[in-house]
Amino acid sequence: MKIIVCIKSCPETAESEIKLTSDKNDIIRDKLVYTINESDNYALETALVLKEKYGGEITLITFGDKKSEDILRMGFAKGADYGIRIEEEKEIKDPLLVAQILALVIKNLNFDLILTGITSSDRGYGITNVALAKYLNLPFTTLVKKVEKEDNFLLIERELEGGLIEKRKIKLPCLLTIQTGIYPLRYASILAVKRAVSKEIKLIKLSELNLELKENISLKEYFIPKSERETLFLKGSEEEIADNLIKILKEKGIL
Amino acid sequence: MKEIIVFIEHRFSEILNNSYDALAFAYKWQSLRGGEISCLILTSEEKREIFNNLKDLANKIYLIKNKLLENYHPELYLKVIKDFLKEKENYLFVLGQTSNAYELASSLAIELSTPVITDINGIEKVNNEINFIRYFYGGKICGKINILDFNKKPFIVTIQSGSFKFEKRDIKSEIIEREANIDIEKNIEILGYEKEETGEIDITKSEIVIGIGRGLRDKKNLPMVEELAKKLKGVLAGSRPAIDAGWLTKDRQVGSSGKTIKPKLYLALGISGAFQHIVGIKNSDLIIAINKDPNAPIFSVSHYGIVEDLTKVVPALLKKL
Repeated sequence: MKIIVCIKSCPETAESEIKLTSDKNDIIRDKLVYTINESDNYALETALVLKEKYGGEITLITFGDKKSEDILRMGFAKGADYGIRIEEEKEIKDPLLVAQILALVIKNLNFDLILTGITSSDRGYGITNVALAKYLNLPFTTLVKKVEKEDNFLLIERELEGGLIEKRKIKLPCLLTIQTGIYPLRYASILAVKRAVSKEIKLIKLSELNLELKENISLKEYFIPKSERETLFLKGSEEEIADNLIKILKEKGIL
Repeated sequence: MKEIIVFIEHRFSEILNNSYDALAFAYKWQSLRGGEISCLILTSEEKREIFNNLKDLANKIYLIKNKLLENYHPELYLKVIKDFLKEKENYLFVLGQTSNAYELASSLAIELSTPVITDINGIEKVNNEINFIRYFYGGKICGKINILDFNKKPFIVTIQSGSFKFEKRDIKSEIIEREANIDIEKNIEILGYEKEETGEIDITKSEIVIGIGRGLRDKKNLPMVEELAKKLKGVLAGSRPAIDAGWLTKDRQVGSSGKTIKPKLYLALGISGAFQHIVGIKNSDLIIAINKDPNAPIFSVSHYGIVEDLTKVVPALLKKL
């Protein structure tokens, strides 16, 4: 199976403090660590598992700056075969436009399956993936938790609300968006990481695609959300905090 | 003025709560910009009675019927909704943010060449502009988004669960029923549904729940939180990253794709509080959160907060319990 995986380099923000720039149009990025978007990592993992099971090759595609080549190399080290980076000469904020850009590149490639994450950890619209499928006129399924191949079809389990699973059969070629947790993530060996450093990455410039870069939505500003509750913060040493907590739990009748 | 068309999603003859989120947004939009509200339901003749729950809630209720539309099917639903919206000139199509909305909203936007914004949790009118508000970076910040020519052109939005308060209306609804003609080649077949396996412990029944998240960092820290749960006579639950990492089984997941809980005490350990998690815990009687990031969104719904690494506070607490 020829598999394309769309991946994106995102700042790690789940465990770090975020501050806004003075114009409120961005977050302060210089101290943040960039890594592969969480659910894209599971899309990559799924591709690696499918390649092991059914054979084939994996092509990684990212739309981003030079720094995003790190995630392509990490993918090579884990077992991906080819990498393409579309140079992000201008930051695009409308996910529909990002999908068009990806579609223009992918339509010239030979593939059976496209895998993506379900959403990005930065803007988190969850739109680019499905939009890409539509621009390429492919059947698609979102929130995939399990995938198996059967002839020219994939058998899929998909996550619905409240612990419900929907089972589907989908014709290849198609696009799937992969939910986090589908498989445990592997780590690349140090040797493989070293080998990946010199691997060739195909570079495509945004300007080569001759696309009118019209965005239909725009960001006015970011702001820090207001707290819904007046939170009382407990301070002091760990000992003092523990004493205080126990006191509160006793007052509330929990202890 | 725009027609505000609300997509009503149903499963096993019940309307999903997310559709009431979408309706609540529609009322809010109407109060800012005017316009009539319509509900759109795709269903079968046998299940048509489902619309009874919507009477008095919208000006128009469109029932589009076909045996094949009884349950959601991505290709059939897309085709029918697209054909329906194509007849309209200027509209705003609203969906509750569900698994299926992920598929429908953006594919409709492409088919109909409209802008789309997902997961909206607020809206404000400033002069003649409308700012759509949604979370970014997993709920740590919010952003105000504008849609180009929003007044003149149709567009599509999805609404984050629980972000607009639904209140009953008393509108005389006109019911418009029609049969759908479905004649397309399908690439997808829905084979059926299954409930995820559940374990022996039902976390929704426990009065004390200790939630763990990414901040636990390593499986080797699991015994200390297990001991804490035992000493507090509670059960362990987790946010999505804790389940994905394999620390807890899926039936312990709290949030929009897991369970909703309302315990007497919810102790959140190393959980940043993505909105998908917060939806599942915010009605707990007492919420105490420990997280090393002072701006973690979990604190915005917590009664008490501790800005610290959980692996330092939990051992101190264990010594005293």
